[in-house]
Amino acid sequence: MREFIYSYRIPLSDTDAGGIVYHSNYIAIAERARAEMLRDIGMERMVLDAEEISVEYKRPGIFDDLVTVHSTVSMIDDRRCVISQITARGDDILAELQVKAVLRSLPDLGEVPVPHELTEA
Amino acid sequence: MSMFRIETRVYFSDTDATGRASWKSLFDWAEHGRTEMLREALPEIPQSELAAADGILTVIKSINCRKLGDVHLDDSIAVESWVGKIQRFSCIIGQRISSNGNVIAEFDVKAAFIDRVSKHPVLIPEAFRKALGGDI
Repeated sequence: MREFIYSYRIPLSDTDAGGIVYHSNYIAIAERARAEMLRDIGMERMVLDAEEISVEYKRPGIFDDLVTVHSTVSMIDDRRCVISQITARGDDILAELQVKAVLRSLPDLGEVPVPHELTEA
Repeated sequence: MSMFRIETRVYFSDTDATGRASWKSLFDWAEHGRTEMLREALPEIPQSELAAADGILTVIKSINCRKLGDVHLDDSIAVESWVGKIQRFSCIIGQRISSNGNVIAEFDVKAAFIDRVSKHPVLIPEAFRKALGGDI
């Protein structure tokens, strides 16, 4: 299974008054990782449009952390896929996401078949 | 307590280039709903004072969100929240976001309380347990 890796430095604007990364920012970080994953295979102006997101928060991230998002894609059927996304700081897992999504083109949001380049190494 | 409801509206900051509200905004609206539910249940203990006085923070352990529809700029939305189950160290909160009578997102949220310094779990404070009710 092909793994895509996206690196991101936590800015102060991602943190909250508790001193940690605000929980919904992991959703935005994971979206950036999915966009870069599509760019890696030459599919720009596309979006993996989420229908369902499950996220487990393991450890808090803090300002200035360098995190990596490890993304892998598995198919549900020829239209839908699940993207597993692990956000980690070194060996410490901060958040694990499961994103059920459909690939759509922009700006019309028409459905596009998920290419095998996302799932195959 | 039973169902708690807040109302808000989709602003430009909630939208993206597709014209729809973003996933992050769905999660943010749900958080606003949970915070206001806590404020209603415990009006004498704002979250900031709870953290300052008792060194206790509320944290989210997990969220499952199913998106059932979209909302766009200027749409009015309602966030309904309720406590499903209270355990010793965590509770399950159900949430639903709707617009014009249509449900656009459903949430199952697991929340817990931790020590602000050690970040270790602490028992749900008794005041919360009593105020929030739910199935124990």
